Amino acid sequence: MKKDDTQSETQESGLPLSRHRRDFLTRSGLVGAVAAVSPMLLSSSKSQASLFSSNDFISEVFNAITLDTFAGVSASVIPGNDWHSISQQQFTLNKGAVAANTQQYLLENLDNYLPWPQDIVAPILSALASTYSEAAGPVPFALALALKPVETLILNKLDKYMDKLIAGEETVPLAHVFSLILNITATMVNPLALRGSHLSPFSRLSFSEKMEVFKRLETGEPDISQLISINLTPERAAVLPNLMATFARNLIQLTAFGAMSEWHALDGATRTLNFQPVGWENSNYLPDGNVEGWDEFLGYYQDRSSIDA
Amino acid sequence: MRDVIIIGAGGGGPIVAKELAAQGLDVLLLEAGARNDKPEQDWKHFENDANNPLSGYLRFGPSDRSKPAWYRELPEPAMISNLSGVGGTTQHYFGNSPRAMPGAFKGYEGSDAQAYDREYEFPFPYEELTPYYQWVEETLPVQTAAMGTNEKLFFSGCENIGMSVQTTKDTFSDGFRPQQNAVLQPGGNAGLTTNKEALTYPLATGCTFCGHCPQGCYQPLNAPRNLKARRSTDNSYVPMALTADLWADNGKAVTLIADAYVTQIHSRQVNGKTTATGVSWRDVNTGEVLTENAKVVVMAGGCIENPRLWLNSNLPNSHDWVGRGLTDHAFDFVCGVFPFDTGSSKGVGSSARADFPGKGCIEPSSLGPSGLANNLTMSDSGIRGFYDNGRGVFGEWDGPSGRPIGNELKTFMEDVNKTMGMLIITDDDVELDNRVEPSSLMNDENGAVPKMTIHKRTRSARTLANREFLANKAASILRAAGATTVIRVDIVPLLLHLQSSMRMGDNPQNSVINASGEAHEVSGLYVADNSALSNALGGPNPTLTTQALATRTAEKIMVQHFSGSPWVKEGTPLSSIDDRVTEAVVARGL
Repeated sequence: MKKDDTQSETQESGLPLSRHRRDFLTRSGLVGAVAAVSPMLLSSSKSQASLFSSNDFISEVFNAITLDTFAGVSASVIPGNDWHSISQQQFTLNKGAVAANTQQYLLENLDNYLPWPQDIVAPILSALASTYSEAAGPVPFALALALKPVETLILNKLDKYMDKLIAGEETVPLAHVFSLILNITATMVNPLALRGSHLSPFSRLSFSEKMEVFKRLETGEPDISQLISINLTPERAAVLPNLMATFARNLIQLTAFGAMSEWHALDGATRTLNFQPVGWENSNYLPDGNVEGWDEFLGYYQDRSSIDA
Repeated sequence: MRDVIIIGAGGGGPIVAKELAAQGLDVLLLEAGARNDKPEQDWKHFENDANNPLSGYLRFGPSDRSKPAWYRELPEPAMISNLSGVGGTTQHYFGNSPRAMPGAFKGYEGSDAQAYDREYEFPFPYEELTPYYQWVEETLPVQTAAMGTNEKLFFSGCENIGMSVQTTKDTFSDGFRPQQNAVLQPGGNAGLTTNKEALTYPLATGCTFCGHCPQGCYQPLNAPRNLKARRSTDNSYVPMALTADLWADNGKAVTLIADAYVTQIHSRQVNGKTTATGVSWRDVNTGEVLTENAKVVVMAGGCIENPRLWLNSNLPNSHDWVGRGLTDHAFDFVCGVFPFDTGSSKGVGSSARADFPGKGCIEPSSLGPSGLANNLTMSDSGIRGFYDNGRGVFGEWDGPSGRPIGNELKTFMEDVNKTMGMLIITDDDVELDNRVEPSSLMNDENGAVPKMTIHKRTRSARTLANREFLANKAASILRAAGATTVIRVDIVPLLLHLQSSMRMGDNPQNSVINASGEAHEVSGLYVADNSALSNALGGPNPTLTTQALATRTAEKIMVQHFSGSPWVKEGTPLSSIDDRVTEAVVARGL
């Protein structure tokens, strides 16, 4: 009997993982992240048994892929002399947003402070895992990543956690959802982004290909909202196009804002600078640090310092 | 029972509070956000720390910064920039205090009368407001702005395109001028040095040109709270309200409670009419719900929160105008790069303006690098060179409108002090479908969250034409001042200047409150913030007019509910920087 590879494959762990689900995890960059993070996890002092008895490693994998995706975003908004900027073929000789650790800034802000309703986020995640990633077609065999048995175990455990997120049984970290959308869309823009030097498919794109991702998300073409809204009520589905556009626009805006700010150089305890922020250096802002005032007073226009009526 | 409960300590509420406290009424002032009573300790000159819309100390959210901001549903593209906390959005304003265009008022007979939104004019003549303008201008006080490099450059651009200078407070023709702003002008060492010790009060008084208005003003260091340079209400009217017993004959100090989110206005039927009786609020930190009654309730929570509270309280809305007619000045941002210093990050950053009656206004809007990067990327026109999102407008600027990113953004910003931003402030029309309503998608602990819609691309033909005119004019001024590159961003609605969502009018079929500021359908319930404005004022920044109108509303409350007499036309205001106020502020330890 011919095997139906769209149904399930029996992994070495004995746990089923459907072809669709594996493709989704591949397009979202999670398979690659598992492969990259596993050696570090397995070499830690924890035993494998204790590793698999908790979900600690899941956040390690999610953070790895999300930070790499956001590094790709950061490089596109304010390029620098980092590898993400160089590989997108738009870079500069001085530091950019990646050096300002804007990827971490985005992760923290989106996860901790952006109050998107969970009853929208979970169905979106569900659609990303099904209709949206399926619309991209099956991952070509030549671009799929082979995992070692223990890595497959980790992937399967992560997959079970994904089920809980989709079911709304766990709070969905918004930054990770953003990362998934960017990466799946990236593999649609350029299927070769499924493999490459970065963890994140989005980060593997050229600068102009990244702009195409932003375009698709901001304009909703082709059919992005329709594909992502399948699990939403009509009322909630109606808000999705703007939610996606807002996501793309706000992500760029927040990246620009954070990259040019003091955030990465600020000592949180004393709220003083540890060093001159990259964004300040790039904009020649306050080269001698903050001041309480400037010698800028040039008098009054036409010497008129008051108006009577 | 209180005499008056005021909901919101932003740009309008503290004006009513101070005026009625000076008359001896028992006033409770409730604020959902932070008290911010020690700005010199708690605030810093850092853009992300202050202005991050999600986590900054100046945001629309609870005082506990570890908690998320309060959510608003935005079904169309928009960016929220109003604030909670004592002082409200004035905490990060530039202090610009122009009067409204006379053409926005009833009875205007100028030759350009038809250039304005005549259908939704103020229900009384402009001249009626003049004594209230004067009262507020004395109290804040409002002064003629000093000039720095940034302003000098703006003036040269205006001169070079042949504009006239305006030398009056009232505006009747096109012209440019220094702002009349609510900023104490530099005295002593202020504006003359960067030496920190020399810039400490009393060696320095007024504005030190620090360039950090958006991060909240606590200059000069060591100055009493009422002598801080920028006259946000937390530095001007709130200190007066909290000390009214010490400086006003028969005055009574206002009770201020921060972290108090009002979730319900209570009412009952009196003589067949709905009458406000009090409010309930939720302690933001503990979740405890408290209730107090009052003879009069004043809504001053802003253009978004007032309709939300009204509708969540199930107050009558037979005219269906609660939350409708929202105006936002249809902002845009045009920015230039110069081959020489613009002083862009120094000084107030917006101390000059150009007015175009019937169309709107332009003012410099100079920011630090984060603020500038934010404004440059807030586009509705996609990414320059890649996609235009169905827009991509051409004009006096370079290339299509849109956001620069990548190397273009980095190059554009390589010296923040060689840029100058221009804020386009459009005289936009009151339109029924631009509105605030309760969200059907999401509740938070304070009830259904507000859903706010501005249909930016389908605004009225007059609004859209005004915006195009002003964007082109701003680009021309920048070029005439020496800009070598000019970008028009075509920003999404920036919800900063919000007006008229609870609009005042004499027709109950298209307004919420009457000419006295009292609700048509609820006795004893007043509105006294930007939402009470009848329209977009012809374009000028709304705060001064809101404060003048709130002063007038305070008088109406005193006369109609407490048998008082008007005091503004015959009286003399006490300035918030008067020695008596300073002594009271110091004595009370504010």
